[in-house]
Amino acid sequence: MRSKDKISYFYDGDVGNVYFGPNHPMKPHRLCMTHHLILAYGLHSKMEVYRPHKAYPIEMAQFHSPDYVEFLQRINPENKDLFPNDMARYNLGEDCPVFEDMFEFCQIYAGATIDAARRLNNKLCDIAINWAGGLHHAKKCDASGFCYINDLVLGILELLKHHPRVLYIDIDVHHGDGVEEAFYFTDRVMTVSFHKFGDKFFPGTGDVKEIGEREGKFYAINVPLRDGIDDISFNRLFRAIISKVVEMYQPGAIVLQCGADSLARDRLGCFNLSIDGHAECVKFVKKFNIPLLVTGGGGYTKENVARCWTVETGILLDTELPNEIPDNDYIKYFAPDFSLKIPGGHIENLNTKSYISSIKAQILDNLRYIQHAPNVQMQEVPPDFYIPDFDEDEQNPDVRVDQRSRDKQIQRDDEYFDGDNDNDAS
Amino acid sequence: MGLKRPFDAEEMQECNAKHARQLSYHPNQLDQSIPYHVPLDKSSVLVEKDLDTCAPFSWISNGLCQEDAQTHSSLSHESSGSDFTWTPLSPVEDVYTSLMNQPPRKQVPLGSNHQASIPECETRVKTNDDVERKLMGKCIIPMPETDLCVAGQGRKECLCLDKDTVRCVRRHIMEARESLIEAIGYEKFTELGLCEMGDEVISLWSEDEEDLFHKVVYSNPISLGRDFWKQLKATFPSRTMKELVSYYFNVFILRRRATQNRLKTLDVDSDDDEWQVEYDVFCKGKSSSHVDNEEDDEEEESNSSDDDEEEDSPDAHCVNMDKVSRDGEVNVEDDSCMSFELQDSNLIFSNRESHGSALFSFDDACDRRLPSSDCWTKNNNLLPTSNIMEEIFGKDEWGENDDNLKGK
Repeated sequence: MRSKDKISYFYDGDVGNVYFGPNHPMKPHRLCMTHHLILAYGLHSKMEVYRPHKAYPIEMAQFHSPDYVEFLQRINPENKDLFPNDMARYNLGEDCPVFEDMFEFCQIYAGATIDAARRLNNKLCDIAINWAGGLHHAKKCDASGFCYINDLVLGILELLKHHPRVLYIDIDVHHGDGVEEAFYFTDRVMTVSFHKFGDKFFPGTGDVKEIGEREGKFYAINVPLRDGIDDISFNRLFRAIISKVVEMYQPGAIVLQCGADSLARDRLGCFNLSIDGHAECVKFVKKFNIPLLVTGGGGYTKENVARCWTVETGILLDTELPNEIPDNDYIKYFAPDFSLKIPGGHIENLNTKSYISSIKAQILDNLRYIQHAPNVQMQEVPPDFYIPDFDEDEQNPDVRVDQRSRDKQIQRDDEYFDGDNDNDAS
Repeated sequence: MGLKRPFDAEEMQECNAKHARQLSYHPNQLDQSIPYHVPLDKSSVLVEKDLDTCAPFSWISNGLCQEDAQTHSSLSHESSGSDFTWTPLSPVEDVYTSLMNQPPRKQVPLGSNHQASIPECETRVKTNDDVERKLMGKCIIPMPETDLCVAGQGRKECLCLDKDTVRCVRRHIMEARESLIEAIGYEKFTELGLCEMGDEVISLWSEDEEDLFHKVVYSNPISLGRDFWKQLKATFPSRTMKELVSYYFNVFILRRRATQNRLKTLDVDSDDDEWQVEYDVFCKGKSSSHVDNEEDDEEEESNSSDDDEEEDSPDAHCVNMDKVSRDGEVNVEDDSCMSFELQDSNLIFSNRESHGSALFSFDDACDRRLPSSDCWTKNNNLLPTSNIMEEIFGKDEWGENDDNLKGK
């Protein structure tokens, strides 16, 4: 093992003071709890702590449609009733409510993932952590599953500027559909998602047969699981698949989404993973010594989210944490045991060994095709030769702004449609 | 598209709603859904038939958790089912064949409105633009030069006389904050947002505001279709939503949590916005009359409530209406309990002289007889996964786990 990894950790206090609404399961306050627990364990003394910049709309538009970004910036609880059509068009209002300071919230968590990617690109750290990020359901033109801006896609796009191949791993209980969809056509991003599938569980995609299209065929991997998977089965499967993927794909960077709703007793999840079992995935990926961007994601039992991501921060820092939670402002949440351990789940494990074997076999079988796929560009490609199959004219011209102009625009504070690069889409 | 309906059985049918979770696995679902070993579409007739002829649910559910041998036997059992026209050669091939025949359930949307446009890769290391430097985050704590700091210290055993009371907890939290400030400096402490966490937030609110906050929340319960957030915004026009949310999570919920933690019941859920409603409803009959008088008699009442608390036996703490939680271990007399609750609700509603005395009263309201260890049966359910992991993956990978985690 090489000498100690340099870790950059991103956090902004404002991210925890937003509220999705009464009885909404997503509670950003869990990020305050996580942050505080990490500090209470003294982990700040082992890593660099950064406050992220707030992502500019133009940065968000590297992936999202400018209309959508502009709407998110404009809409708020006071005026939302004036735009029922747009609200519906962008899938806002129910799972994805419009709440106060929503856009700022997006700017913070997305800005942090982008910052993290940039630091990794510039080799200023080996591992970058943004627990506020990981909102993997957001789509190019609409919100989904409590996610508005897909920070993971933005981070990966940033990494792609310096790395020919990026591996995305998702251990949230829900399928990482937003990220998979964004990169479905390309072999430069390999997306691997472990999730619950079936019984009309959200979002409904993520079948093992979803393997990508066109140049991206065989570069999307889905591991659909049933209720109640336990540590042993999950970790065995994880190790088998990820080790093969890394060996065959040889990514230059890895993005790991650590959604904590795959833990036992999550409000929305249905797996039986313990914190140790979940964290084992992080431990395993870290061992590859490949530049690593770690984000949060789902997780709807706040105190377990805080525990989980604190333990995983410890793992990334090669620090074992004692079980007894130190005194901190939020210690009351960790009653009655005030321990890092969580009680076991009681959901029946419906994943038989034969089922898991069959899934694994299919996936490993598909991986063989990576070597033989004719259009795979494993070496760096000069831009002129990259000719996409799909019709470029259909692309939204607003999105395709070259790097230099982008840089110029970024200098402006929050200005978006003004100036030379104004493409009036509305 | 997305629907948010908490735990509504009908809504669970709609997989576009993320906020609809399967709470239990119903037997009848097996009849119409995929078989346990093959991720097939519901439209698969073969498979449905297969299931219908299978053994009853209890057998299937047992089979699901069994080891390989048993699973194989269950498969062969299925093969001999009456309507089975297709005999798999092996579990793997069986699945593979089925998968080839069935389309995925939900298609991944394709097109320019869905996929990202991929940037070119520059293989040479880019020189650091000033612009880019600014957009990589502001450093709050730089990488330490040496690794002298010992990280990862757990909670030490406390030697306080009033151990585990709210006061004791508060004292230790203060000590922890102070040592953190000492370690990193006050400026960094502020930059990390720590001044806006926990009880510190109280210093940003006046007593009047705090009382008003509680009043608004209690009198606009969600269960009656009211949204206390709207009322809060109307009541505190000068406060931003962030400040309201911050107070709610850092003070209001934590205080409620302090009470909940000292309940007998294990069913504590700090995310349950309804909990306070029940609390209020229980007290309503008695407290309303007191609320009217509170402005006149606040001092007297808080004083008298202090006195009362001191007189009360430690066992007199009663919390919410959950009478089930009041088992025989707690010696509760209804009268004292009721008066106790009154005091509790009065504490919340009344104007306090100062934070100090009020918190003292609140603390006493919470710190009654602490539940004995056998009440916290959750301990018994902790997963011994590290032991299992050791067994399977070997000591060298897991040796660091269990032993070192404890008591470091």
